[in-house]
Amino acid sequence: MNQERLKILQLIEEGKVTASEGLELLQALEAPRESKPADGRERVFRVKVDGDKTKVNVNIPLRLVRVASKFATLGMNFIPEQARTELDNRGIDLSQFDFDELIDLIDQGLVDGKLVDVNVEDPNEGRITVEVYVE
Amino acid sequence: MKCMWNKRRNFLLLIRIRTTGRMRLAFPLLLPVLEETLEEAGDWMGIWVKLIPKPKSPLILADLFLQSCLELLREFRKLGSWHLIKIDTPEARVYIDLK
Repeated sequence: MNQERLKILQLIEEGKVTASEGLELLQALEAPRESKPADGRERVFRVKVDGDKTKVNVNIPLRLVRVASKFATLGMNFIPEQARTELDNRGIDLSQFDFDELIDLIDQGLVDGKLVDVNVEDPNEGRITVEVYVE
Repeated sequence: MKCMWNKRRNFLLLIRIRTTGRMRLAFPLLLPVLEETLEEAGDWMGIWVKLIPKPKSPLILADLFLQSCLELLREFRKLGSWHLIKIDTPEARVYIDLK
């Protein structure tokens, strides 16, 4: 999202769009996006754990995930400096991680269907299926 | 009795826990009350934040956190009746619903 904003500002700076057009673009970018497909159904992020003994069902609407992702962005401020440096050394730059972009991809249907589908056989729990998907 | 809250929005986040024994717990969170409390806290925090010159003060982060909580809560209220989480294990059952 920040990259898109920067791009719009650059277009204004270069004189390719007028200031008022730029403002309209920025407003369109900031307008709350509805996480609903064309058929009007709410898109839902689902986590399903299905075991012989344990069953978990998590249903979170995507628009709620979008708001909740702000907590993740905020939480990055609390990562200790030492851990941040270590991640940097391994080539992981957390400041580049854009939750909005990830949710946009899911929202646009580019990341659709099953995100995680794991089947395990546990000696205590029996067969466990873990599915994470958006529908 | 006429309800004081707008019925079109959720007013309850209900956390229910049932264990294998006879213990049953329910934590009803009144969302309008929580929303108003967060709004008040946000207003107070806003006053303090204006007095702080440092851009990366923990108070500013706390203010952002509070604003995000408020936004999340408002989204919760817009959602309508919803089963958010259901966990079913041999030891306990946990349900988190919006009503």
